[in-house]
Amino acid sequence: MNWQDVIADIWPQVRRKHLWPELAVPLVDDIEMPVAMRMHDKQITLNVATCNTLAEHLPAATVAEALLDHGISHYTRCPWDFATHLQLYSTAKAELGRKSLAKLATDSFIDVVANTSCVKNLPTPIPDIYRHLGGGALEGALTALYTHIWGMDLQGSGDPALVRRLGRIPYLDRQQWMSSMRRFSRLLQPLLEEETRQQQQQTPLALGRHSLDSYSPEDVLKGLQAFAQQVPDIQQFRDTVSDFTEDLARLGFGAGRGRSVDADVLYYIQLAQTYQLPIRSLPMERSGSLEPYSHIPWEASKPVQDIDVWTSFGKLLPGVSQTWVRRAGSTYGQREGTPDCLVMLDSSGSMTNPRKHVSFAVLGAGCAVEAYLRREAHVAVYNFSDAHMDGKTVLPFGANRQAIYQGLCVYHGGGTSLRLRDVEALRRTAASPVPDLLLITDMQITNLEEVIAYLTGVDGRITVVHIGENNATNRFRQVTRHHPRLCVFTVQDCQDIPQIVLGQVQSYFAMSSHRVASAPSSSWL
Amino acid sequence: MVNPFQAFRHYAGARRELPLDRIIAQRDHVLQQLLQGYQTFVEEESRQLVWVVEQGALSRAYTTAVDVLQDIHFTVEDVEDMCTELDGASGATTPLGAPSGLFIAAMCNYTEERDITLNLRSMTRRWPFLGYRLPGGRRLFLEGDVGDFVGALLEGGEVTVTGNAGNYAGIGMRSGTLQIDYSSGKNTGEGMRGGVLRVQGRIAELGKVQQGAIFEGDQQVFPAAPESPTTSGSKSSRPERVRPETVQRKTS
Repeated sequence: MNWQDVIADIWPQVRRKHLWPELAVPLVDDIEMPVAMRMHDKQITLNVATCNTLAEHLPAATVAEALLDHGISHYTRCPWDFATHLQLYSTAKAELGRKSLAKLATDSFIDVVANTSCVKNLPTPIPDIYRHLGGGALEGALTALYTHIWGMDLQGSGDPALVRRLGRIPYLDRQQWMSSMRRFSRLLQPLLEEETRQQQQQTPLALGRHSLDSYSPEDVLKGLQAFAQQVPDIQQFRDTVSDFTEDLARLGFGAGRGRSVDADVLYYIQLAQTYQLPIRSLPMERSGSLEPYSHIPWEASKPVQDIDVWTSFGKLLPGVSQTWVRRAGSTYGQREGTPDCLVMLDSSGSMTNPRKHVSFAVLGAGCAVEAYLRREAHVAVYNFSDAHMDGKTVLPFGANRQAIYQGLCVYHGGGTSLRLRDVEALRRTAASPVPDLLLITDMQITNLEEVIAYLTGVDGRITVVHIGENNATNRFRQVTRHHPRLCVFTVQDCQDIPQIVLGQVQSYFAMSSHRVASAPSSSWL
Repeated sequence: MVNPFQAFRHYAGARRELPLDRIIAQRDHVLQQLLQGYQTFVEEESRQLVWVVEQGALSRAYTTAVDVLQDIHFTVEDVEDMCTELDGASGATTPLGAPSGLFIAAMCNYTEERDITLNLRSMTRRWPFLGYRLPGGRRLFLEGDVGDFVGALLEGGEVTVTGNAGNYAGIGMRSGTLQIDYSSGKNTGEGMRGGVLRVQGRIAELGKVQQGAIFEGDQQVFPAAPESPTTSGSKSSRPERVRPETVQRKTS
């Protein structure tokens, strides 16, 4: 039987039924695993073997329609997007504790929701294929559940008490999916354990597994960002994402070939990318582009696009028409740009370890890094604790996001001293003549006076973000209150981060200084 | 001009009424009734400025809970849902410790099913008084650790705890069986007047037991077994063993 022809016939009807989802025409292929279908980057591929098996009991069009209904329901109903998938998985993992069980529970739950939603809202032959799918104890219980909640006899087998309890879960209420997932996992735990004991975790469900392959890289990126915002702490993000490291690395989220995803770094990247910190652009001394410089007479062999029509009297004549000579190099003017930035991050013992809890220091630095990288500027990292005792991580100017975040996420612990000779040496390597400086610290620096003296004397714009309040903070504020290029911000929690205006110069706000000064968390000094 | 939505004109969403809808609606209705009943119960109990665990207060609270539940038809699954709801509740339905436990106990005693299983592992609260006055012919399986006063005033029912029990387990029980798979806290069997209390693990401290039988592991600790020649050196029949730290020591 030519299944591709069957699909070609049925596909327009199926698409119409599902209100034209943006999916390519499904394919039919041999899939090694005994599953009915595979989804990769929104491309549904049906397994010929499963189709043929089901076609022994049902018409081919019914088989194709049912399988396609199931596949499309995953895109249009549940899990809908990658963030929801991750959240469901995270909930199941918290309940069951084991990766294999949680993945199986999530897959089962997603299938139940997608199928039930499809059966409720559309005319679909999905129930027909469940009569012939077979499977283990888990599949049997799920089929019995379908019998119970769909009101059709699908010949499933399961403990009636379990099925009754499973049938009380509001699968179609999206608002309650997380609590439903929790109950679903708890109730099915013995069957899930039995299923994994039988080494069937590679092919847990007859209709297929739900891996990250079914999502596009853009979906995954959006999903990770949403998930980073939703989880209460970095621990949960790491626990969940680290279970998908292979899939993520395959999608290009790793730290390079053969290096797995660093979930902590990924967390800060995704979270920082959701903030949009503004940077004041500066008139740049060198633009580096080709600028019109002088005129020379145009010759017939030269290109015509550089002819200056104003000085050529509207003529295109060799020797009469004038063409521009462009010169590269220094161009002085009002052209604005964003200089590079040197981020100095305090990772001493008094700061939060970014790999244990959410560190506002690293998050704030990450937001700043994103703001500069978005404007194609380069960023250097000077992560320090007791720099004089070699407690430092130095990353030269560059635009490698992964490396920058790796540098930011290093936690040294111990005392706090800033080795200014290193900072100055690093600052001088910037491509832009006067790079911006960003210092994030709790101000409990041993050589604070030296740091103040350095910062007040150095060129360029300086943004200082301090975490928490203490005497040293007050001292710093007092000394630098009249400095025209130095801004101080307080960060107590995530909500303070958007208040930071990077590379700001106090004089820009001279007219509105009264209004800005009244802001409690980000007062101008 | 062609209407771009023409194709949708004849689209009729064939929404089917599933048994699931009826089940969920029924579940929500019963849960709503139970929550309203619980709120009435809480308001009644809130009149007592200081809620002291003593016989009069317990009887009064239990009677109130039973009165509230009389007109509600609920199943064991509704009891589980109610526990889950109370566990995460806040505001008007904030659980009140002992009274909440008595309310759950009353639900267990008056549900239609004879066998009741409550999964307490995933719950953050440790309800006291579970199995309170469980009548004969009923079996209550409590999965996970339970709070204080489990199986209090047991009236012939069978309570099984798969985890640890708190203090005053089996207090005042008259008949029936209380089985604890791990350990129990202080004053276990206090005022016990009958029935059998089996603790597979350790008993932190026995209470003043009047009648009945208490077993710690395979050893009967009340009434004390007659002294064998090998144990003639011991002065007391009460075991003096260190209780595992996992057992809750809180008193209500």
